[in-house]
Amino acid sequence: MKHCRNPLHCILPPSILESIAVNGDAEQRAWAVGALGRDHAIRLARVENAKVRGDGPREGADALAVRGAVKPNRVIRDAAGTENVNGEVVRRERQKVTGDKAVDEAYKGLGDTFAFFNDVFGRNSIDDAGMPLRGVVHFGDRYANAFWDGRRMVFGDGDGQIFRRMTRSLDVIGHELGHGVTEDEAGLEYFGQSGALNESMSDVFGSLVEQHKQGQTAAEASWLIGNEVWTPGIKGDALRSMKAPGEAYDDPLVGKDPQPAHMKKYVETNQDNGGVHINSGIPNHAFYTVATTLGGRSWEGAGPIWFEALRSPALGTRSSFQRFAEITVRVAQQLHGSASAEAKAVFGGWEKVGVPAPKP
Amino acid sequence: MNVTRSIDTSALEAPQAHEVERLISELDLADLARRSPLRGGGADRFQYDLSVQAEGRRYDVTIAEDVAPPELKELLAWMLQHDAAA
Repeated sequence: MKHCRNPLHCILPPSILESIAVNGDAEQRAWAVGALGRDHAIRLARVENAKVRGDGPREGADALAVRGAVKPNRVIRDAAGTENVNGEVVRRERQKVTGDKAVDEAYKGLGDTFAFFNDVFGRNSIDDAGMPLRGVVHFGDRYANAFWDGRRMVFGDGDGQIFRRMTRSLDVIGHELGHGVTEDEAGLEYFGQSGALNESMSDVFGSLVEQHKQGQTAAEASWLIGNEVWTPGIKGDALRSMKAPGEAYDDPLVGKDPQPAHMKKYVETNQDNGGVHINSGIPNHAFYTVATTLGGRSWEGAGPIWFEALRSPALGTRSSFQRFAEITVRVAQQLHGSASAEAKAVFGGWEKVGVPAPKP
Repeated sequence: MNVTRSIDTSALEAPQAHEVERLISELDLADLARRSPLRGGGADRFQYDLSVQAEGRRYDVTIAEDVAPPELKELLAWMLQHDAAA
């Protein structure tokens, strides 16, 4: 849910601070960026301080933002081949390895994803308030999918002919948890362009979780989503490719990757909630382009720009690609400077995929 | 990724054809078609596009798996199993 997170924004519209952050002199920009960014530190400090506070606030506690002090609270349930998401709890936080691969992969993957969001963005779980990470494995009968149901991540075992179990893929786990973060921060409606942005944010998060875990640079990353879930007989690298949308798979049984890499090939359809998994290829490729243009670690370059754009009060629940592009350019300017290499790279990424954005 | 299944009851053995007709009769296709598309919650759920030609009428239904009634899931399961057997 969108809400007024900072009383300062209630008095001054974010647009005024954003304008100062872009157009002011160095001192003015630093103040405005600090005011906009203080929101995040304040929220994190509030969570931390709520845990340590006894009868009253500790002196100076509200000024603190302690990274890395929080831990995940993982709960893994076994659906045992049914569609019951409230099955037996088979592994809780700090409990030992069970020997069930799906259980242990889900447990580890949720932990890696939690660590990414906390280490990189100072975020305490999906809702930034310590929400338990609920995973359900062995869902359904040969169920070839994984999904976020609004409260938990659910993983099937695959059919063994086309798909393997979904917990094999860390970026899939990061993708599903990413939907929870997007729901919490932006509530992007799961239809049309806003839905494709929702899907793209999850692919961004999933890919960054994988890169962060592997310590990869943007140049070293595969930029593939779900490269561990096809069975060996399927002619495909992955479910999707952020580097080359449309080229992830081409197989007589499952068909060809339908993703476009440019707005000229945008797919108008009523299927797939207006093509949310199809047209996500466009913002995916924009992010890949920005990340590789900037070089280095994607979670330090393009990642924070995209994350802050997701959190921007200017991002509506039905935002279009163009609206999101505009916000990412503004965020890059706020964080790095009006004519910075970062702002130019963001503009270039959207230009590459045919989405209009303000030129820095 | 799309997975497609198609059944022509005139090409089935009588017991199988009767089973499909029974499963379809359990559905209120007119109501589902009228309310289509029926979207669910969450993300990355399966979505089904069902087209039924029966008694001179056609019904097109688009529905997310989490809001699909049990009778529809039963029909879909039969279609998947039938294709696997073939």
